[in-house]
Amino acid sequence: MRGKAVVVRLPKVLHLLRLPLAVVSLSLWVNLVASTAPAALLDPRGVQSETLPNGLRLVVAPEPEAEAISVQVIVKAGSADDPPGRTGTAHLLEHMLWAGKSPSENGPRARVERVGGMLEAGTLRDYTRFYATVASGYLDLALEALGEIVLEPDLDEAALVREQEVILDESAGRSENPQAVLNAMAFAELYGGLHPYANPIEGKPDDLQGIGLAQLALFHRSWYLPNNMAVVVVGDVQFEAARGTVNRVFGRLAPAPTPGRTRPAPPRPATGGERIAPTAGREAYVMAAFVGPEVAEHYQVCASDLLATVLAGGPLGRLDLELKEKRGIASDVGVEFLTQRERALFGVWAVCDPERISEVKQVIQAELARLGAEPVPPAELATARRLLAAGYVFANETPADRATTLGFYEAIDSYRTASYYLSWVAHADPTTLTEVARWYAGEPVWVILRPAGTHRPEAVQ
Amino acid sequence: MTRWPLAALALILLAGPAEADRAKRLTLPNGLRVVLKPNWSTDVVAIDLLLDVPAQDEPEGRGGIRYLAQRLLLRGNASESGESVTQRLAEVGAIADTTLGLDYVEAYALTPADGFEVALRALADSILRPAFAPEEVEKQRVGAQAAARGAREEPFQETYLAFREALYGPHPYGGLTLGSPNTLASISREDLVIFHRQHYVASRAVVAVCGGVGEARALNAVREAFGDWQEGWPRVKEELPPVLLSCSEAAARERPQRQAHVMIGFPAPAVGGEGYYALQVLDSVLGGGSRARLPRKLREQLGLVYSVSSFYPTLAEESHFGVYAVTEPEHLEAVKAALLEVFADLAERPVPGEELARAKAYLLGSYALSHQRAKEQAYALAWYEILGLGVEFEQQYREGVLTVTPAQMQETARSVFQRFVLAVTLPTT
Repeated sequence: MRGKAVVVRLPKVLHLLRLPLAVVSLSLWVNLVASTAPAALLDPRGVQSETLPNGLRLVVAPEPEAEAISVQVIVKAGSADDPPGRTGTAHLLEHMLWAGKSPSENGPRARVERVGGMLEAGTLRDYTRFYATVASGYLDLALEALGEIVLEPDLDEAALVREQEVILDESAGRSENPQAVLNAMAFAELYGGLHPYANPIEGKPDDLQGIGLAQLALFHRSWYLPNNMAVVVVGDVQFEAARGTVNRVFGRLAPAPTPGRTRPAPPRPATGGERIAPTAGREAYVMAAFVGPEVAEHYQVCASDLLATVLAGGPLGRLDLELKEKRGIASDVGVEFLTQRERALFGVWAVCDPERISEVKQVIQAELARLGAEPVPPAELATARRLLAAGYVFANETPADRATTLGFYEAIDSYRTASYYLSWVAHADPTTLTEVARWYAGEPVWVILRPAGTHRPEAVQ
Repeated sequence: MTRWPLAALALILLAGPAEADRAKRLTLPNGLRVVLKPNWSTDVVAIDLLLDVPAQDEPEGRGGIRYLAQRLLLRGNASESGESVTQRLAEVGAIADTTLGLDYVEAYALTPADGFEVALRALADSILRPAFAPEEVEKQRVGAQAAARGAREEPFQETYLAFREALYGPHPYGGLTLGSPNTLASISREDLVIFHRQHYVASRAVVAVCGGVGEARALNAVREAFGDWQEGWPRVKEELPPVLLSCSEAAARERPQRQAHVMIGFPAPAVGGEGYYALQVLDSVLGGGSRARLPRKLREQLGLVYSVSSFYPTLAEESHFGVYAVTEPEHLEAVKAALLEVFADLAERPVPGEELARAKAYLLGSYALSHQRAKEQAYALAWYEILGLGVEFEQQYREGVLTVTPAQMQETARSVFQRFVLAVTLPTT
């Protein structure tokens, strides 16, 4: 999941001087854990939920032993709901709400920071979230601050221009990160002309600059509705207390119909293809991109997570062993897969010497074909299950982590998915695994970043 | 005007953890220090092993030997191959990795509680008896050289290196943490074996275990896994010359990038030294949160920078305080002037009460939020132990921050914000 990238303080002390040796492919790990959650930690018996009269969903996990409270306000609309020709609207609105017209000493963020808390925001393809973590006892302060940000848009032209510039700069920064460029290319190639997942979350620069205050206000009126929102609270809090404050802050909102979404699912399998773009670095980035499951296909989501773990879930992943250990032709490998409301990208990637692109492609396709043809041996599958399960536990250690996971699933499905996920992983049968693997065994859409000036005819390689 | 509820927060933070939740520290007969902090609300266990092996321990001409050794630890030991270690860890769902800083080397594992003993044993075998197999040394050498080159392609790292080189000169903090491709090339397997034998010893190490495992179980497992570790000699701390700037210095470099990266900073007290807490709070006044002085002045008022932040790393030796900004090359002079003005103001005028309260709350709040995870706690506790501060430091830190006065801050600003080092990387012309 993407975080806020505005005026972030430097990583302090520890991070500044510590250099990870990157034994585990971190991006894969993050994706895996983002799409899953621990059953034991998010036991459904410990989570209470209710729908307020105006349609707002409330999900509360009381944890009396915690010393903090974490709150997520979820708006179930993200960049996939940007109006046509106005890509970047959801993200720009989130920026403007979070940053405020002119920051003040008594603004919502300042109030949360003054009690030692943090207030952040982020936009994904499926939803937008505003979230805060504070010490026990400050639930009301956090909810009031978040309510003010989300419900009382105070937008003006100066803030619009300022945030457009901030976003353009963030996008420019991202364009220097090959991994981010590769992912953006994969979404564009796989979904282009078919589905709004094709578009970058931050918007295309021309679209972004064409967005005015009226369009932002319209987006806010259309989607920031109580019947399209959820509030998740995890930590040292009682359900009744949370309900009382949430009612006070959000209860006065009137429900209204949302615009709705009418778009066909992208075809699975996709039709294949290849796109190559130049990159400034020395190494090539190669990805085989496929259309994967949507969140409602719970078993297929679990199967895809398990397949990703078998392929690249750590140093024993099949691609790690083949490309890094045995052949020594890739410096990094991974699988990009984040569960989405609609059919998600499943992208298998490697970073390699530009001379070895063909060989890397062959190995990736051979490993995917093998998964589609032969069941994963029981011992290997057991290890993958174990790694995946442990990953959930690690990723849901703090109240803020658990609020993120519950909010993630409540936004695109139901918070209950977070609780059941682990048992689905434990019981995912090898047949489903092979069936899903066949989606990824056909012709991929290849996206490749190749350092400028390294192209050679295939015959010479 | 609202009243800030700092009093309540201060009480919570000042109270600190209840007696039962505090970390316990003990020393095994071989000198190994063990820190334990159980937490029954989580199933995660973090094992963090820190060794007092700083950059100055690297032999002349062998820069990066710590990094290469660290890369090799989990790649095979006397009893099994690297793949078998990884398999053993994966079977219990554990992950392990190694890192290093200027002052230490580190190996850690994160495991579900029921895999604790397996993970601890795998870590111990790897640290105590690495194989340094010749083919693996060559493989990791190539990887280390690539990483050393890659570190310098990143604008922040390159600017920070220029900054440290100018500030510290020949002092070990002025060098490359990962070594250079050339020095890495000169390290032999024998160098590694000797370096490991001399430096990776129990008397220099701290093992911290935090999370879902009880004290007795944890201690038992640590004794079993590390009990036969050779004690070795504790590190003889050599006196390093004080970091003195005879005049303000500037260093400029060029690299292919779009913007100018600026770092300006000063020599600053080591952890616990005179003015340490005051400078921690000054750091928060300048860069802590959305209402801090740097983003307010340089971004909101003057619109000069894309991003700006301050940093004051916790180091064993004399540290540094700095500000990092990303800007357009034509704004460089204006950014420098604005920053010097901000520093001068802190030396001339006391920080108003409400701003001070906000800065302290932000500092302690960030500290709490960044120490929630078992791994973060284990690392911090082991690090405080290496620094000689002990497990009590968490509590002392809270008290130290809360009792800082505006007068102390002004005095510290006067003594720290004097001669400075300015490092800049610019887009290639």
